[in-house]
Amino acid sequence: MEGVELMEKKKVVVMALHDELESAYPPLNVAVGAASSGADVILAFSRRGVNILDKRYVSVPSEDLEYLSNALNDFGVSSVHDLLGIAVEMGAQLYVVDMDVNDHFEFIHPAEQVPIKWLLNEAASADLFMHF
Amino acid sequence: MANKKFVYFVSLSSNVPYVLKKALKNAEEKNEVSIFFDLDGARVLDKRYVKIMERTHNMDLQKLMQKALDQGIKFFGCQMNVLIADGLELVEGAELSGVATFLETAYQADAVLSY
Repeated sequence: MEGVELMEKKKVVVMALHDELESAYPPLNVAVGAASSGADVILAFSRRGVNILDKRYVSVPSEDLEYLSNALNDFGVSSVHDLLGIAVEMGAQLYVVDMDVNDHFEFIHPAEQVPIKWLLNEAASADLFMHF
Repeated sequence: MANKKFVYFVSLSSNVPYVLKKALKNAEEKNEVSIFFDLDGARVLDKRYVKIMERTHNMDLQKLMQKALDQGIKFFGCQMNVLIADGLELVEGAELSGVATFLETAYQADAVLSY
């Protein structure tokens, strides 16, 4: 696999800002896809997105998008927490932007708290930065 | 700012008209534009949904989408399995893709914009 070895390792920074189902899947899909193709992945959570990391999190779609939840369930799509677990297994590093975690929070996976400036600096040097 | 590569990632169908207008402007300025439609955003790639939108919201989405395709904007539908299971009638000119295609395109882009 000479080609693979020669390929430059990509750096991907993904930021989840919201916790609704339709906003939770895209960052995780991108993180899993990037990590599984060998990229270094930083998966950061801020604002309401941090709720995705809570053990008690249940993905609920926004109003008028309830059909998505049923469709994904009917089709047997992995849950948000399953995808998160896959991302972690694939080597994605989890971060929480500081000031966004309350005291009652129970992390499903360990996540390092970092300043937003650190994350934005990482994003500036990334091959891909996306926020959802 | 011309000859740049723009990638839009749209996961909400309500954002599609806005994204199409922005994408058209970029394409008219000779930039290369790709739009990836995911989750709820992907509904607009289903002809049945486009017809419903036109009827209920008096929105000529089809015309806007056709204009974009005519301008060379590429449409990709991501994770369309759910819609396929539901009998998807894919809009002509759109392609189905996975996250690998998205990443390949996004790595080469000058700007990746999510809506």
